[in-house]
Parts: sequence; structure tokens; C-alpha cells
Amino acid sequence: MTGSFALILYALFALGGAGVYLALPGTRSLKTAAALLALPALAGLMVLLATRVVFESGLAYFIIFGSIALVATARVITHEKPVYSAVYFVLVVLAIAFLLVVQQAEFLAVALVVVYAGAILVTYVFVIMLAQQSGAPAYDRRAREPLFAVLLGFLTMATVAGRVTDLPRERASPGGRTDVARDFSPWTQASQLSSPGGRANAGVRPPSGREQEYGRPPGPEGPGYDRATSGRSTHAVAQRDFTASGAQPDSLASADMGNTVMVGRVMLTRYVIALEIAGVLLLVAMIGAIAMARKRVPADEYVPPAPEPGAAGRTVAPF
Amino acid sequence: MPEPSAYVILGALLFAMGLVGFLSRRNLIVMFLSTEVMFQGVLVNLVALGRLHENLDGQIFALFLLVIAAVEAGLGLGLVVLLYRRRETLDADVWSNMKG
Repeated sequence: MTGSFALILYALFALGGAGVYLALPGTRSLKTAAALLALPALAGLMVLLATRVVFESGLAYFIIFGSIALVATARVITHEKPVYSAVYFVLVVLAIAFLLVVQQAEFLAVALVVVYAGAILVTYVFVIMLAQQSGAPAYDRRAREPLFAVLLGFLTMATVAGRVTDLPRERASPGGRTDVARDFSPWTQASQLSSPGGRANAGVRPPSGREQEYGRPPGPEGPGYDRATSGRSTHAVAQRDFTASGAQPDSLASADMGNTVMVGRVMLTRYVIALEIAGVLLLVAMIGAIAMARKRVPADEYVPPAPEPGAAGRTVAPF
Repeated sequence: MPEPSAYVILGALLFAMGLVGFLSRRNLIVMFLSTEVMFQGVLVNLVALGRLHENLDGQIFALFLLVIAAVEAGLGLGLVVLLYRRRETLDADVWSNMKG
């Protein structure tokens, strides 16, 4: 990795970490300084990452929605009022949903918005309303061990990011890779080993739009036989030219079939057992939640600690 | 082949910030929200790496993860409500009887 890129990456991580640390409640009252540090750092991270990798499309979307998601996440964890944290989390979910649409996972994006922002977050807001204290309670006005937490999180992230982006530059060319056997980066190895179901066995026949995603129908060996991983060496897979088989990112959403249809098709044939188990899991969770809600809980003999002197009249800035 | 490393780092950043929030906040509900933020990071990771392999496995995994997250949120919030009823506070530090 070039020295300047590493320096900029780590500097942005340090700035972002410092900004998040300052923004955590109770550390210092330097909200504007925290905002000035963290926001450009996180946005700059997105721009840096976007310039580092080769995007086939959606570069601007990645920068915009990535920055929105990161800044909103920073506000989720640093805001003093839990209701604002929940609302900022809705913003995170919406930004992630947009990113998923950019990556052509429309069904998952809509499911995310409906389930997360629609159901889970509403439940969170209800519980916050049920369990709220008057004013800003003491446990919201001071974070515990913020320095340790920020160091842990951002140091881990800097290490991971430094390693992930430390890949040979020629691999990132969009023209396909004909010399994949020489490249030992983990990404190409992963893509070699896990060839998609259809094209590994299509031979010279170009796959249709349907097969590109779901794969060939089960052959004479039966439905359980996975041709991609049985009987074929990865060396043979490595000889293929990825561009000739029409493996464009748009194949995930070919013209004759949308993402929802493909997800439904795969889910109801290949993962139907997991789907049924998920349904059973939901039923069990519902029974458990009802059982919990009916429980009569006596209040403990717990005396809450006396409020801090001067806490009654202290005002908390909303942002 | 779409390169997922930018999305992977974004997902890891979301996860790390959720981790920071979980470790540093004392409000039980904000701690739960931080775990949900971690879920979002994992979601971004899954879809990006699913695109790397060019099949729908990542998205299917993410859908089941959504189910798990919904279940966990529901039950966890039920537990939070019960804990609140016991101690009349959302502070996580009042439940530190076993702290060394």
C-alpha cells in the first residue's frame, strides 16, 4: 500500500475516532468541535474508499449514502436522548436501503425498510415512551469508558481497512482477469472457489438470464448434486475468462426477471427448509414475547440514587 | 466482478461504531440500538460479498438475518421493559451485582 494512502486512511480514522469520542455524552462539551472533526472525516473516508476501488456504477451513490449512514450512526451512538437515537437509526436504515438498491438487491431493501424502519423502530419508540425518565437522566449524560470504546472500535477498523485495501492494484481493473492463477489475493481465491451454479458447468453455451442467477435445473444426478463444488477442480475454474461469460453485475437483475422473482425462486426451492425454520422461530418468539408480557413483575426494594446536585435545572442541548 | 472492498469497509465501520456505542452507553435501549447498528453493518457486508460470488446467497442470508434481528429486537425490548419495571430505571449499571 502506498505510504500516502495509508497515512490519509489512518488520519481519517483517527479524526473520526476523535470526533466520535468528543461527541459521546459526558466527555467534553465540544459538540461543534466534534461535529467539525467527525463529519468531514467520515465523509472523507467514503470518498477515499470510493477512489481506491473501481466502481462499475453507483460511485456517487456510494459516497453520498455511505456518508449519510456513517454520520447518522455516529449520531445514534452519541446522542443523549434515546428518541433521537432511534430516529437517526431510521436514517441509517434508509441509507443502507438505498445502498442495497444501488447494489440491485431491491427486495432486501424494501424488506429492510418495512421490517426495520417500520416495525422494529416503531417498537423501539414505543418502549422508549414506556420507559422514559423525565428530563435527561444521569445514565444518558455520561458515557462509561468512552476512550476505551472508541479506541477499540476505531483501531480495529483501521486495521481491517488497511488490510482490505492493501491489495494489488492490477486486480482492480474492470477488464476481466485472464491471469487469475497468478493472483493470490483472497478476493480472487474466493471467487474462484465459489463459482456460481450456472456458469461453472455451462461449457461453451452462454447462460440465459435465468440460469445466470439461479443455475441449471438438476441433472440426472439428482437435485442434491452441486456441480460447482463436486468433481471440478478449481484450476479448471481459474482458466475461464470472466468477461466472456457475460458476468456483468447487471446479470443479477436481468431484463426478464427482477430481483424479487429471483429471490423468491431461490428461497422457495433451495432454502425452503430454512424458510420454514424461520417461520417456526418467529412463532416461538411470539409465544415468548406474550409470555413475558403477562408476567407480573414486582418492583424491587431498590432505592434509586439521589439525583446529582444541580441536575434538575440543567438543560440538555438537543444536538 | 464487482469489487466489494469498499462496501466491506463500510459494513465494518458500521459494525465498529455500533460496538463503540454498545460499550460506552449506559442506557439499555441505546445499547440495543447499537446492536441493531451492528446488524446493519453485517447486512451491508453480506450483500456486497454476495455480489462478489454473483449469486443470491448473500441476500438470502441477509433476509434470514432480518428475521433474527426482528425476533431479537422484540424479545430484547420485552426484557428491557421487564427490567425497567423492576428498578424503575434504564441504567445498565444498576444491574452490576456480579461486577468484580
